[in-house]
Order: sequence, then structure tokens, then C-alpha cells
Amino acid sequence: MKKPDYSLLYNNWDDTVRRRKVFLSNPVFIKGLALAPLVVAGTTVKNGLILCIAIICLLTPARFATNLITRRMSVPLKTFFYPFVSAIIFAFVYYYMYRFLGSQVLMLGVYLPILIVDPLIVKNFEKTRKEEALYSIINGLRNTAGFAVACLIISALREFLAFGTVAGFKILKAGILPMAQYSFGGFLIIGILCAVWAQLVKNYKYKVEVEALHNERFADNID
Amino acid sequence: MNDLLTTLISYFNLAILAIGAQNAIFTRSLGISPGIKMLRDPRKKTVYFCTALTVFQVMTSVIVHFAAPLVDKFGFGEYRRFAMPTIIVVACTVSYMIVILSLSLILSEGKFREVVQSVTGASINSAIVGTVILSQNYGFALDESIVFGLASSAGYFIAMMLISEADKKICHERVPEALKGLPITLIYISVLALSVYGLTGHGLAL
Repeated sequence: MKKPDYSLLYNNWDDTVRRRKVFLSNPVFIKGLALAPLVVAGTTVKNGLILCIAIICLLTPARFATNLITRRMSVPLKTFFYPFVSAIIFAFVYYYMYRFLGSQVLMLGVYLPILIVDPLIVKNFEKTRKEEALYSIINGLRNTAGFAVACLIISALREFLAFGTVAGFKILKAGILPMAQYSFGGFLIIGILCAVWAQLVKNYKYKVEVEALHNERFADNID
Repeated sequence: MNDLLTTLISYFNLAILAIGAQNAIFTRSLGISPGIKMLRDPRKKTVYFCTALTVFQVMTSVIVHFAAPLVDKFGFGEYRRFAMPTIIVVACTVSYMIVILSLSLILSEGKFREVVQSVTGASINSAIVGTVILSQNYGFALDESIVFGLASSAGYFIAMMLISEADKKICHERVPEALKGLPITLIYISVLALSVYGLTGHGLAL
């Protein structure tokens, strides 16, 4: 396997973070976005998948559509236009999800509709920097992937701890931590996962830094 | 007299439900992400944010209460569930415009600039949208919607004050490096949420 160019990664750290957003700037574990649906509704893989489908259908299209429409709008106008666009897209997404997935979609209660105002979707309105249309799609896809990874990890872990199953497959006779199905268990597990994730990011950053400095010294010695 | 007492008791029960058993943050986790974001933003103040949220909550509840039946009236009743988020966003926009216009008339320019950051942040978030959808799902009358909205905001206010005070008082030097920031805040919230659960003694129907 080709070894990454650590000097390049280290010298363009902001770009590295943007490109590896799923890991280095995960919207859930690092930025704390979309916590409400994950804390309460992200208790099983089934629920996690429904949340993922909603975000896949909502985030990138809403970001792209809003990016095109709100280019010349002021921040207060954007504040409402962003959720308005996402609410209209959501109405169709919700309807078709209900048609194809049935009442399971309704089991998530308010935690699907509130996605339209979640900072994961509407956080961009306070930025004054204009986003290129293509970049808004790429960024939207990166955020979607980041959310999906976090959502599936959280929901699988909570299902395993609370019920002893993963995606409905029995692994243990009973759950080893039934509190994982409640909101307080959700806060605790997500808090611990955030800490683990932050430590992994820190370790990676340290590794990149050490390797980059090592490469630079090696290059100096050759010269 | 008896009717008045019954009404007051029902309001009290509703308020206890919204503040305790269905607390916006500790039980329902509504508005947690913007709340944590607000704590980390020095331009926004918890008191302004939560006061504005209360005002928006009540205004939005009232507007949605009158606007939602129009969907049925125009023959789209079966799609009401899907259209509800859009109706709420429009209601939030109307509330925001009314509040901003009123504040610009009442406050001096300096004070207005100080307040407007927090007000804009509080004007539309999952705490408002979630509570209004719950009011609609429960089929509350106008007065019940207002009481539920007010109490829900009060619950949010109390929760955010507890979190922001703790955030200031946590001895961050003693907290392990990996737990600093978001993780320790979430773990602290989980302890408070557990105590609320212990007090009310039941889980939550989504």
C-alpha cells in the first residue's frame, strides 16, 4: 500500500481536515451536530438506518438548492430560507419514506421532522464565505458520510448494549447495559464515543506531525 | 370555581410534564446541539437565548394552532403530517419578523446589536419545532399549547442554566485531555438526565 505524503498532509492541515472530514472533523463526534435524533432515536440499527436515509435524501440536496438560491441573501433571511428549503425537500422525502418503509418511519416521532432545523443541515447560514455549487455537493456528501458513520456506530453499539442484538441478530442472551436504550444512556455513550474519537484524531494528528518532521529532517540530511 | 380549579390543575400537570418528565433537554434532547453551540459562542448569552426561545415558542405555537387546520380546509388533510415542518418554519419566520421589528423600535441601537445575535440563534431550532409538533400530535387546545410551550421553554431554560453553570465550574485541568469539551458536557448531561429519570421513573414514547 502506498504510504501517504505526511509532509503534504501536515503542511496543508486545513485542507487535510476538509478532505478527511468523516474522521478528522466528524459532524457528530467532533462538532456535536445532530445529537437530538441520535440520543433519543438512535437506539437500534433499524432506527439508525432510517435516520441515515433521511439525511442522505435531505442534506446534500438542501445544501445545493440553498446554495444556488441564497447567494445574495443577508444572514437573517438565510436563517429562515435554509430551513424552509429543507422543510420542502423533507416533505417529499418523509412522504416517500412513509410509502416505502411504512409505519416504522412514524415510530421515530418528532426526530425525523426536527432534522430540517438541525445545525447539521442549517449550520451554514452564518458563514459569509460563498460556497461553489460543486463544493457544496462535495461538502454535503462528506457531512452525510460523517453522520452515517457516527449514526451506525452509535445505534449498533446501543442496540448491542441494551438488547444484546445487532441489526436484530441475537449475540447475547440479554442486554448488558439496558440504560443504553434511554436518553441518559444515549448521552453517556455518545459522550464516551466522542472522547474516544477525539483521542484517535489527536493520535493521528500527532503521527502526521512526527512523520512530517522526520521526512523533513531526512530530506535535509540527504541535501 | 370548580371549573377554574380543574383547569388550573390540568395546566399545572401539563407544566410539570413539560418541565420534568418530558424535559426538552434531559428527556427529549431537543435543542441540545444549538444549546451546546450557544454555550461555546461568546457572542450569545444564555439568558437572552432562552428568553427569546420562550417568546418564539409561544408565538409559533399560537400561529401553528391557527395555520395547521387550513391544510385540512384546503383538502390536504392526509398530507398534514408531511406539511407540518414547513408550516412551523413559516410560523417561526413570522414570529422572528414580529420580534425583530418590535425590538428595533424598543431598544437602542447598541443594545439591539447585543441582543440580535442570541435572538436569531433562538428563533428556529429543534426545541421549538419538536415541541410544536408534539402539541399538534397530542391534539392540544390553544391554551394547552401555550402552557405546554411555555413550560417546555422553562424546562429548556433550567436545563441550559444548569449546563452553562456546570460548564464554568468543571475543573478542566483535572479532566482527562480526551474528555475535555463536548464529551465531558455530554457525560454531565447524562448524569442530570439520569436524575430526572429517577424522579419521574419512566421512559419516553417517541
